[in-house]
Amino acid sequence: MSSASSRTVVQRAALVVVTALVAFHMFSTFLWSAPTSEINEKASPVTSRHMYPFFAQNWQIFAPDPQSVDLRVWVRATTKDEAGVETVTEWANLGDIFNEQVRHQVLPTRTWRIPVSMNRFYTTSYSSLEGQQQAVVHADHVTAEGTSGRQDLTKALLGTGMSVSAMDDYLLSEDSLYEFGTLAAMDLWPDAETVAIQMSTSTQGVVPFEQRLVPGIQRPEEQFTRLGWRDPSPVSPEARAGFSGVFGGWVS
Amino acid sequence: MSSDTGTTGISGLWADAVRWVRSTWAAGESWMLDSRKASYGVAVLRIGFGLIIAVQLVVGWGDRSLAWGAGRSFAQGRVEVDEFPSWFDTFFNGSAPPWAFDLQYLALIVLAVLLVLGWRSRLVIPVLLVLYISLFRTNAYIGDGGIQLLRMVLTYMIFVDTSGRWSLDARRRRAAAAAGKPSRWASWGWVATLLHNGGVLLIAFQIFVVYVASAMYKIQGGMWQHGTAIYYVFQLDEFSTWPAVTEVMGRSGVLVAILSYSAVFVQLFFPFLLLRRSTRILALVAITGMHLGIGVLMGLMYFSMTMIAIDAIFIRDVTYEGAERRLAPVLRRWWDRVRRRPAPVLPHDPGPAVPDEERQPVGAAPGPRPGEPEPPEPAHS
Repeated sequence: MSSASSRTVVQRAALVVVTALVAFHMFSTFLWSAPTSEINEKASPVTSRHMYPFFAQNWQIFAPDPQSVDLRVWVRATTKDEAGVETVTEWANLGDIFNEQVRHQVLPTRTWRIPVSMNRFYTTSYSSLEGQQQAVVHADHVTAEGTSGRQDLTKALLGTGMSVSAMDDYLLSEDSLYEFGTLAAMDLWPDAETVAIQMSTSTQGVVPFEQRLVPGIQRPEEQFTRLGWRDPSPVSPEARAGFSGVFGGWVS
Repeated sequence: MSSDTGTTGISGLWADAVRWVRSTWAAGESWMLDSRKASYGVAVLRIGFGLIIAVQLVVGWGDRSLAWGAGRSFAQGRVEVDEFPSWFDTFFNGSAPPWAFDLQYLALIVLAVLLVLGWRSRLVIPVLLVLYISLFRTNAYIGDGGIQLLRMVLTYMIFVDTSGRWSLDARRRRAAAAAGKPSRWASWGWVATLLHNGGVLLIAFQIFVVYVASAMYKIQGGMWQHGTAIYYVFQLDEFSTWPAVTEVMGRSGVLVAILSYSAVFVQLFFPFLLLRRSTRILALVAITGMHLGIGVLMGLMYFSMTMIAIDAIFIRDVTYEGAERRLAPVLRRWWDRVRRRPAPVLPHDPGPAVPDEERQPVGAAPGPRPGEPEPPEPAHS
């Protein structure tokens, strides 16, 4: 073992540099994970740049309180059969279908959280809309006689005074939700052509702890955020095959 | 009272302070430069991470095209706005043909197995990290804290000598040393040691942040304060992997309160419980039990296994060596039976790859224990 006196200047310098870098990373990690403070405001221009995206992290796990509502994603479709007759399907709970795949699995596949994460991502985006904008997305925007459903939706959103960048941010989540629903609908109702899609998110509370032993107690009613009808999202044949190869097997 | 006494008192204090700073500095230098800390712990971490990545990819094989292949087109919009460098798009690109995707997926499994075996870990870890980030960023809807944590700790592991023990690398180094072939890098060993210990500190600090931050956020919540939080977690569709079991457990208010409180306390006090051997054992047993419970009952096994693998660095090298001494002959006999070879007369101890100088766990209180070498003497000048 080398003794302190035998260390070279290079070794000491390297030690100082490495220790300083380690300390800087620890400090940045601490600030990223801590609530905001005066230190945070002063230091974060430097530390946040260091942390994002590779060291981005969030440790509010089941905290401050665990979520006490189920988050679900629902889809239904308007389908057209060979005779040209249009039918509106029943609502399908996509969360149930994904959850069913991991029941009693110690090593579950990673796909099961998708509907819950999608509800969370969409709801965050939806909550940032103002009342008038929310009314627009609750309305139907489907292609009819010369007007494209997409243009109808963007025109209506911009008409509320929304900026283009705010609209694009919102549409990122809506498009993702509807594309997910479109792909699922094609497998859920494969015998007819899908001509329109409607999505809904929902939350349902659980029985409060204090009432859990009350006989016959029911969960609170499910609350829906029902969006309007849209054209089916454009999906490539590869995407359709990739999705259907898995999801189609679950629902057939 | 003479002024001399005062001067002597102050200069005495001053001399004590200088001595203390010097000896602390020397101890710090020694900790960082003289030996690679947690050498067995980081090997267990390496093996654990390799298994976690390989197992989840194998389990997800049937779902791969929806999770990360062409079928995850609904998640592509988020890939385009995330802030990872665009060269990550080279791998697991959504528009690549399915066979190309499958080859990359298989390559990631092979790399994870190589990580378990400890084959050329210095090269395998960075390549594996790039592919791992590339895969998981393609579908932001499949993300949990475990994926982030594994990504960050794997990054720190680039600097760590994770294959010093229980690995093909260690076997190769032993063979080279036995053949009298010196390593080309021998004179740079101190740099590797310094980086290793820096990396180990980062891993330890990262897991402390996870535990303490999540506990501090929890104690702000009424459900954790009243010991009912676990009941609510058990009620959700999302975590109902074993609904019949969680339903029965949720009926007992006392059990729910015990589980809720112990989850908070074990996380909050984790770093401090590590300081003494007796409380360290308690902390590691309790937190491992918590992870296993969460992993099995809530379907979060990969997250839980990631935490358990990282906690493995807090077990001392002497403990691992003791386990190795006891298990090695058993494993050797089993291996010989598998290969249909007669068992050797005497169990042979392979011995460590490099001499042991340091058996302190990360974060342990300094001080010799039976069977351990004395800590290095502070330097006196």
